[in-house]
Amino acid sequence: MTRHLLKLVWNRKRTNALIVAEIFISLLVIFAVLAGAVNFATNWRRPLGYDYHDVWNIRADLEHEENPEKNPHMHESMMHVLHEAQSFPEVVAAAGSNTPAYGFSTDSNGTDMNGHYVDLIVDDVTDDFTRTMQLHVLRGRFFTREDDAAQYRPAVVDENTARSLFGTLDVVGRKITWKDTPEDTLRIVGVVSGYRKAGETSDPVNMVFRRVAPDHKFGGLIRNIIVRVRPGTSAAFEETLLNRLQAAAPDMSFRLQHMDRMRRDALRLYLAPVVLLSVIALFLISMVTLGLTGVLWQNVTRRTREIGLRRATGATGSRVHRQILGEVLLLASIACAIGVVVILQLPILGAFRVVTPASFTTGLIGALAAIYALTLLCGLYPSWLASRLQPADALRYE
Amino acid sequence: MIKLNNVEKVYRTDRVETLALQNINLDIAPGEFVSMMGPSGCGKSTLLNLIGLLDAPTAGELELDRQKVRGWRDGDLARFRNEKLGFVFQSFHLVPDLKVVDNVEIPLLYRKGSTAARRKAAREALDRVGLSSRVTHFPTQLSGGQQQRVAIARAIVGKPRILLADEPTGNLDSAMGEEIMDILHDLNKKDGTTIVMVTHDERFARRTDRIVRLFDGRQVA
Repeated sequence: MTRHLLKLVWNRKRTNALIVAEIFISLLVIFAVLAGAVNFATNWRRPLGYDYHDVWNIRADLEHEENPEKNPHMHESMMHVLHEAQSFPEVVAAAGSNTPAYGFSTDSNGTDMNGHYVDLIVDDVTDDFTRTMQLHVLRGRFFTREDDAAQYRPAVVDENTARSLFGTLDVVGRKITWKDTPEDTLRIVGVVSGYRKAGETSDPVNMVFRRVAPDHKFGGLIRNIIVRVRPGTSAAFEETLLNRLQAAAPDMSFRLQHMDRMRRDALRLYLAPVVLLSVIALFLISMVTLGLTGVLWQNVTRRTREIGLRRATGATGSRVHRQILGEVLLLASIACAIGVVVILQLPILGAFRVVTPASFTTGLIGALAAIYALTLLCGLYPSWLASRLQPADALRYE
Repeated sequence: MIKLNNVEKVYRTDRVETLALQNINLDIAPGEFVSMMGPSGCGKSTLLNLIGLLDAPTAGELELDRQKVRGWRDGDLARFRNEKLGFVFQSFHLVPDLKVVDNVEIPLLYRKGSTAARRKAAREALDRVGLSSRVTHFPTQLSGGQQQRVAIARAIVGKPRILLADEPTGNLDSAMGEEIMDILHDLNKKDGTTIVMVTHDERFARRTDRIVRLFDGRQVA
């Protein structure tokens, strides 16, 4: 019977092309949605590598400054502001950071390691950053005054960077040389757990923290003061803090944001297009479901006399039901085979930069399962109708 | 082989009740070739459908091959149709997307048997109707007479004991009609197949053993 169905499907290839195309497009859409959703869910469950609760971000407006990184006066002012922030009893810890978590700016760089280029995300931070963001030091240590005498600029990397650059080797004491600026060589002093600067929606990234020394020995810039306050600190303290900082650096202006608010904004920005695309995908799939049911229904109606003939020659109603469903599943298999071939080309086009291989695979398996369920669902009613046809009526059908 | 006692068929809709057949009594012996005649709408095809288990009588008794057809389920009816009955229709009812040989194989798909055995039986049936050179053609590539011969091959491929033909020559010219009648006669004489044929053509009816005449749903001869 399978061979018979294959012949039928093949000989009706022109008629079936539309159905196959619909199923194929549905597979691509469902795959994209599922792979994205699985990737999102996987990332959501991953640890962030820091704690954003009770953390405030105070951003200094340095945009009007020319080359603030090279301006020692600017650095002095920011360090002064930092010390002022640390002096409050409400503040548990405070640190400087150039591109803090949930901020929309990112400093990226890269290095060649064993013949392949590794992308790295960089942040310039001060010594108290680990206490402020509550990073988890896995090996070595975070920055201390001990680093003031360092010959190379000290760096702390997260575990992803350590793995990407050095595999399973102990990375403490090893050096990172930038591809573009080899003179800015870093020496790793510690490893922290995976740090996802962009938050829960981000894939694991390779993070490198560079030390900004109090004496500005190796340069670097901190645009933000990150403050961890005691739990339950009132909003009134915001004004007190900002006033004090403003007094400490009158030529600068500051903007304070709670990090959980920054997180919410970042999530909204990420989720808005995702939700919109998901709604469009859902709508598209609904349309495809209705369309497919309609096409299959019409297909069954067109073949009423053939169904009558099959009943007359010995097919039971349930056999007809199974045959129609079998044909639908066969068409789905053809569409899925084409779809899988197309989808498997996506990694070549850089799909793994968008989703992880695991999410890709899960999305593909899920999409295949969903397509079979969908086509089965679409075929159920038309095939049931076919099975209910009375042979005599079906044979008379015009 | 075929017995009908006081068979009646009524078609009911919400408003109308149509008496298609009433008080039909018929006894057809094994190996008999019977034709049914009557004006359009007199119930010939309805009677053939009842004998072919494609429809159920409203009242009366039907016995086929010494088995009373009563309370049979869909599976029982399908099995009987598959093993004991063969159908030939006026409009051939060939599946246009299947090659001739695949069309002929259709009844065997609903039986146990290997692909090779099915293919062999289909080729033999086509050989029997003189179409062994057309096995890989599609129905649309054949003439009307050839298509009807394919339909006959399909009807006999399962070696049925009863062949039911509903105006098998109705869509053919007289020469092709004669060809079809020759094949049916051959099946009847050589294989002993019982044949019931509905026809409008007196010439073809006269070539059968007996003519059953219907008028307004009643058996008049």
